[in-house]
Amino acid sequence: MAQVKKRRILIVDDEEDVGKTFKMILENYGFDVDCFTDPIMALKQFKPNLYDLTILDIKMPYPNGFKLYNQLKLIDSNIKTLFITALSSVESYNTENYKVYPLRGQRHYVKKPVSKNDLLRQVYSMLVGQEYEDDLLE
Amino acid sequence: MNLFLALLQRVNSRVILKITLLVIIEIGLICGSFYTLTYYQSQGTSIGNLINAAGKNRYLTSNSLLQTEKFLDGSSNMLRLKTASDILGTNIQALTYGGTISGINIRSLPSDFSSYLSNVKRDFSAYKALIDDKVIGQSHVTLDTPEIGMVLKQDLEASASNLIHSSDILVTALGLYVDNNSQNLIILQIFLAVLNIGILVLILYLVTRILMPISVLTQATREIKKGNFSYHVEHKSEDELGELTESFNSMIISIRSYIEEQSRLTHELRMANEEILQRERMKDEFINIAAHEMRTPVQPILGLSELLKSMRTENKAVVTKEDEMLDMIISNAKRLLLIEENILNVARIENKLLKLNKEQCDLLEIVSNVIQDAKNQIGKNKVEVRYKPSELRTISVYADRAKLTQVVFNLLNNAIKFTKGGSITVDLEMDDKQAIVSIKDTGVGIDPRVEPNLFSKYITNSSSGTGLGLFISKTIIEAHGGKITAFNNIDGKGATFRFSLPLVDIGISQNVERTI
Repeated sequence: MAQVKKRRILIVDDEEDVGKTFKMILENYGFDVDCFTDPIMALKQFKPNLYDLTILDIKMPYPNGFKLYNQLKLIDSNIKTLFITALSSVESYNTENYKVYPLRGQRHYVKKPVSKNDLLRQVYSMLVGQEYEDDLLE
Repeated sequence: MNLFLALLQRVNSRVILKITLLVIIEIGLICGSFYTLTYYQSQGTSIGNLINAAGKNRYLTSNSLLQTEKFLDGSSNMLRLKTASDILGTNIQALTYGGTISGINIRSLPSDFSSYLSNVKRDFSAYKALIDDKVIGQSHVTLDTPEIGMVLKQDLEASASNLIHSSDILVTALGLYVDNNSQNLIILQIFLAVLNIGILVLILYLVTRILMPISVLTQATREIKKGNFSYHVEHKSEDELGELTESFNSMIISIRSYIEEQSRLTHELRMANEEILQRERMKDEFINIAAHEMRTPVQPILGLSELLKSMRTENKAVVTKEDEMLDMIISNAKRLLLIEENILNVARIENKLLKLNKEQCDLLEIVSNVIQDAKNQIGKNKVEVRYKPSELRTISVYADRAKLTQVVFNLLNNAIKFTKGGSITVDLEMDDKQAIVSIKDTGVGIDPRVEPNLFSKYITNSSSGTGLGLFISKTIIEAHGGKITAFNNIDGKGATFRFSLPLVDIGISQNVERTI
């Protein structure tokens, strides 16, 4: 397993099992993970420089992933965010916010369900800034 | 005059008739005024001539008296006496009946002066009678007796004096009349001038009124040009301008109602369009949400199975039955996703919601990526993939990258599935107009019973679960303006799937969303 510096990740997904799955996978690969199903709760305990990465679901009751992202950005302007959604077309879900945060062709955007390796590849590339190699994980 | 009337009848215009009538009235008025003034002036002149004639009475009477007295004195003869009284008689005759005196034509005296004239005539008769009876008729008596001659002279002088007096009265009366007449003439001149100016102003006003609609209509056309279709021209007359105004107003009304109808239809169309769009949005939203709901539970199944599998392989090197079970869970979860994706795509196609997000992309890169991603499956199925795109650097097409990837993935996936242990040749060709991708396998080939309906959506085959992939691929390729074909290889081993795509046309390379 690749030894990387222990990084802290915030996961917000209103589907408890989905959030838990991500948490379990990431913890298994050495990350420190906080998982929330309620975006408000996540926002309440969020502090600058506390997390290295946030993984946000887009379709959530309130606020949705885009709005939450905007709020988090206000608190920590350097925060890196990975959106994970089961929506096939983000545009039709929320046009207004789509304009704020264009996702088409965006690197930090993966579709659910995401395979374990795809998730790790994305997280590694965002945090370490280098390509993740499958061999290291097998 | 008849010619003029005929001309007017031929001019079939009430406006021209009206104006002509007004001009005729004005000309008549001017002529009338002129005639009246001329008549009045000539009246004054003829009275002046009469004054001359009447004034002559004084001299002629004196002359006659002088000749009579000379005759009585014996210093003149009878002829001179008679001539003098005849000239006087002729002058009075001319005053009564008119005639020529000293080359001047005079009219008979107007009846207003008949009483003065009858006085003159009476006095002349008395005088004449005296001369005729006492002088001419008894000349021998009077000549002999000087006393009688004195008396006769006295009588003659008295009678002549009467005649002169009554003539002078006539002259005075005529003079007064002329004086009056010239004053009246001034008044008449002023009156006629005022009347003429008044009528002229009235006629100008009427002409303006007749022609007024022209300027009003001109103004109206200006308003209409500005788009003010509620404009209404107020004018009523029996002529063509009235008719023109009326048809102009009704023209505006029909234009207005036409425009209103147009805008109503446009509005209805917009509403209908809005409704269609709304319905489409709702369908799109439904499919989107349905997809979300279907995918969400797969995440824990897939993610946790994969995690579990890797946790197990971390601990031991031997592949157990449990590992095999996990693999089956994972592959079936993935298959479920594929099926779900295909069904959703069919739903999108059927509801005309499949949208192309076209951008300039490299077909070569897309094909290479798909082959790269299929590495695992290729290995599992022990297939050899031949792919040598070396001579081509890029194949630029204007397409939806994700959808095109899906097509290549579908075709390659099918080839792999049906070619266990064989080989697959992926070829890329390019000419001026199009790029062609062909995937040739050495697999089982296409069942001749299925071939005619290979790309139709209800074809299923046992291995792939749903045959929707080919239907979706065909729809996507055709939406890009390309063509997809499939045929069994001539050597009898396997099949070839081939699709073409038009190359980028720089002129239309904008990112337009297109609904299929």
